[in-house]
Amino acid sequence: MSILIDSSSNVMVQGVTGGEGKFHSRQMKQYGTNVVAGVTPGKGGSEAVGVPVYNSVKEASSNHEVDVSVIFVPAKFAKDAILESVDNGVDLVVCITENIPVHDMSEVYHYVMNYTNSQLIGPNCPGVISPGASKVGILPGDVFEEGNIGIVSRSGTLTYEISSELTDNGLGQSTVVGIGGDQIVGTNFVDVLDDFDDDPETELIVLVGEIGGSEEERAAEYIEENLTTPAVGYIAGFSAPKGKRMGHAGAIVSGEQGTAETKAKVLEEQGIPVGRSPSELADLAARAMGS
Amino acid sequence: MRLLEYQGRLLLKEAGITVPEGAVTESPEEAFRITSEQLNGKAVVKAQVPVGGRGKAGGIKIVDSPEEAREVSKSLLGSELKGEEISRLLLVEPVNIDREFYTSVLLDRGTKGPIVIFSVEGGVDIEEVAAETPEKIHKVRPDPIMGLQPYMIRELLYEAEIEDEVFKGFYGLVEKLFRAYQEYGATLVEINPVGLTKGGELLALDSKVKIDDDSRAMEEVKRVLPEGEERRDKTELERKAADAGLQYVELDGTIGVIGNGAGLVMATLDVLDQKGGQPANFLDVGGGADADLMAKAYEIVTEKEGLNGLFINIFGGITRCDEIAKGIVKALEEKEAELPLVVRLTGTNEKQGRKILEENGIHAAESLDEGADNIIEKSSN
Repeated sequence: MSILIDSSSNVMVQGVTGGEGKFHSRQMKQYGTNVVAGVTPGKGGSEAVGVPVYNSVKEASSNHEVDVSVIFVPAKFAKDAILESVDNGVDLVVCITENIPVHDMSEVYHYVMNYTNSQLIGPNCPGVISPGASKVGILPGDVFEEGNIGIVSRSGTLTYEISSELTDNGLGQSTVVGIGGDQIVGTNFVDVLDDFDDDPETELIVLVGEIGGSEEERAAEYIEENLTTPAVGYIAGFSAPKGKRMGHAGAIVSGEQGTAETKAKVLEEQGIPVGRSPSELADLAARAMGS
Repeated sequence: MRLLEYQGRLLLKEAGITVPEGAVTESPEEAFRITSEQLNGKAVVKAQVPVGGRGKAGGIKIVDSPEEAREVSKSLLGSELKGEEISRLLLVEPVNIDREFYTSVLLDRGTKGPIVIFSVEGGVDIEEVAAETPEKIHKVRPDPIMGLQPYMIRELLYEAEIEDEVFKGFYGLVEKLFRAYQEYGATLVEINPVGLTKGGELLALDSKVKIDDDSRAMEEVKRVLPEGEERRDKTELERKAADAGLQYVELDGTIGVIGNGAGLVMATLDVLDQKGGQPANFLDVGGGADADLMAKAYEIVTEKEGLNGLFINIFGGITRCDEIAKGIVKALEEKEAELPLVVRLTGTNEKQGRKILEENGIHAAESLDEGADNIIEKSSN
């Protein structure tokens, strides 16, 4: 068991003929993901990484069963690509693309939430992996291992760091979800938390956050009120100066709000231990798993 | 990016909003000339720094003659206001204002859509108004797809009890402000205060504008602003990095840091900090960095003075370790390393990357903790 994706998920790649799209489609296939089709307008009828390429999502989804779409198109076409997938009824859309205008995402977010039944993960995210079963996105497969920890994170590479620490300590993962570091993302912490709580295989949740906003605080309260699965946390940015945007559009401390210190405090008050470094987090997770 | 007042003014003016007559300058002589020739001998001199509460801090002065404008400019230019150096002044004509109001449009992180705010309490900190007299703040939340509807503007203005004689003026102002928010891809457009003159004219007396760095309208924004002016809040190295497509933030320490992914770089800084090291910068090479970009990152980070070590921490995903290794080797070929260097490399194409480094005599650390310990030890020798 896992959440969002498993070995039966059929995956379509939007932007399959581009450099990144091609490289990561190949990596996904090698991992065992069922990549069934690709879409690049104008390249229909050709083939890439051993799968047929179509001009539109409509064509691809009428020739194949598609459960998940993963998007690698450039930022200025990303809104269009997301809408094309959700309008064609794709259940899960994972958008890897970064630097999408925040106004585009504001519109897309409200459209997807109000007018479709699809779920959007990202943008500016590493994707989702259910170790041993399927990966959708750009996560490096070999740092993950099958197991019982569910990870949800706002960051990409930091997620690999933490997963690798866990794997090295013999702690595998049920599913790892990178929700993305932008100000507006389709799926938030709380949306993933419920899925993990319902998944019998997930015994512990690892919440990986960073400075800025108040999603971590909301997630902590949500866990305390609604979840039976225990959780541990990590927050990046303890040493970040105020008022400076640390890479991610959302990662900025303004005034006393959104600091790592205040977030860690809120999490700990809700009974969620917080690691100060990835290796300390792994120790906390090991303790919580009773190993 | 946050615009300075005089930059935001240009955008508001372009959007059809009336601002007082004025001009920006860097020299006391020009301040004299502007005051005597453009502003009828009197002016309000305003320090252009990206901080709030400038008036109370002494950054806004009223002058009654061109000579006084020159003297005041001389004392303000080059001085510091709330830690920010004053390099520019905006001089505007003093206007007789009858009443002051507040209005803004911002992108709300919670609802993920715009909020339009209007208040009869202008010229003061809106957060204070919200805390003390929340009933004086009126808000509407337009759907981001449908945009601001006429009834919403009416609702705001009726709630605020705006009189009939000036209703139309305010209606137009809010409409234009929302259009500016949309057309420039702003995350905040705020006019505080909006001045209402005895004659019923509405003026944007001060403003705060933030534009999304990824805005579709960035070209348009840059067209309206004078060239290179939009990044005066960054240091020289930060500007250089931005030109190269790198996210770089200058810090106070001595260990240079290069990593990929904002979260991982932040975690790297934290771990160094916790172990007693002092990071000199934040640098994220981003997703999918190639050898050239990596070499550029090396060049920028090592250009900062006073470094005594460099820590490169890469976890490959979309970024490939072999490209990173090639970039490090390339950078070292161009510029002989004088600094202790520790590389930590893992993830996509890790084997190829390690091989390239080893062929060039560089050993890569296996974990973040090991790498951080190594660089702290090497840099303190």
